[in-house]
Amino acid sequence: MSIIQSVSSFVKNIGSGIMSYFRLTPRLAKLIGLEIFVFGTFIAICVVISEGIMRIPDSPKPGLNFLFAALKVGISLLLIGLWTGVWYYLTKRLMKNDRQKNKEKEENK
Amino acid sequence: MAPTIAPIIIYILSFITPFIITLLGLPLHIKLMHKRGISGVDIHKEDKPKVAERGGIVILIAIILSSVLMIILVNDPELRLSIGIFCITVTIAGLIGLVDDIFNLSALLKPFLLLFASIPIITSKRYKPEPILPFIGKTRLTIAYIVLLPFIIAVPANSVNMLDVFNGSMATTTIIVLIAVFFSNMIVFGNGFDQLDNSGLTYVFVLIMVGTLLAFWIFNRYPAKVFGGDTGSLAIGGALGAIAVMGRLEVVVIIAMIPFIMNAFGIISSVKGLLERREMTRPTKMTKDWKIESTRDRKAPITLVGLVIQKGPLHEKDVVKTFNVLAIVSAILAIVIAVLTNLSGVVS
Repeated sequence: MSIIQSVSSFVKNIGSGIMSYFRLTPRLAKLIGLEIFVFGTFIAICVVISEGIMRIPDSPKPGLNFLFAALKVGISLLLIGLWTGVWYYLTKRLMKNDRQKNKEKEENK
Repeated sequence: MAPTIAPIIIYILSFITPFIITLLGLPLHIKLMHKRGISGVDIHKEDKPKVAERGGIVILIAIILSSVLMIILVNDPELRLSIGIFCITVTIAGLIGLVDDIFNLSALLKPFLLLFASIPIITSKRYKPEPILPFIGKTRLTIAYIVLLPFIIAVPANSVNMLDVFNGSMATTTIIVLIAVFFSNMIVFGNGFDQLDNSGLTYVFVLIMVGTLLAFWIFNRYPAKVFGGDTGSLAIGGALGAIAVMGRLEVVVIIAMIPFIMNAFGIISSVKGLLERREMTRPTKMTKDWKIESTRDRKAPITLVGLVIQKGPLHEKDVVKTFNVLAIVSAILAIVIAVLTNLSGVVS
């Protein structure tokens, strides 16, 4: 086999490999959507923390300042916790909905 | 005092050493396991072949030996200590996996024991309680961070363990996560390969893991000749957690591991808590043409595989490809997080 033939079969193999990945992607639309949603909400939370919570000015009184700092961390952690909760809930819903659809399909058969 | 070795040589060696150890070690391990009858049936194949188990032992040995070599080659005592701590953390996670492989730990005990894998990092203070977030920068969490730290090791370890269900799935998906971490480290800390400091050490850890996993994949890909077992998956997951903490890339690792975490969420929510794989009803069965389809059993856990095959049965190789697509998407998102962190100019 000449070098050109080997290279062309190598490129073909890679091409068909990539195509096989693309063929599978439509099955994953919902999951990819959820991934992007999780990412997007995380970014949104970061913006809220950066532009909102972090803008709360420091207090000149040390005791009050500590309270403010603790409050900032607390609210931020609460938001991150909420984000994780929503992520968990949506994953659960997505998976349960799909199981329900499957069951209905089976029954219709 | 050892002569100073150029960082680039250390980076190259940190990839090549575990690769060669795993590549040479696995054939011997496979022979030994078959000889001792420690093998499992690959139920996704028509001829039900017997596959050598506990390949994770070689993974663990490769990581330990490569870490020892790096400790010898690196001159800075602080960096040496960090490599040692990384190695001990991964070893603890791997040994918990080995105990599970041999004695079958309960579903609650395994994650509980994994919480202790973080002790070396905590006691040696190889962490900064300042996770870096995009737009915000360094956040000072001090106490909250120490409370959360054990989970940053235990959660990835268990998540990787839960997704290690098909030939080559664990190796390829974790390699994708590690590649994302590699580039994110480059983007966030703006490091090249000309120096070896704390963030440079992240490259060393990532390269050790990629070298090991690449060689493991050669034997674990379809049709598998060896299974990693819990030893392998917990060691690799533990390593991802350790890299996240020691490399200060917690957020990047979380985003890159979205498919793993989603799978874990699905399982936990459907079986209402933690159950060992052996205690759960199988969510999949094989079709006549040896494709994977859902059992539609209500008692079975809802997994990522279940979602992927709900539109119709898929061949095992294609299921792994779908995992890879999901891992690639989350890897891209993780790199976007790194870019946003860098653009915000919040890391000094």
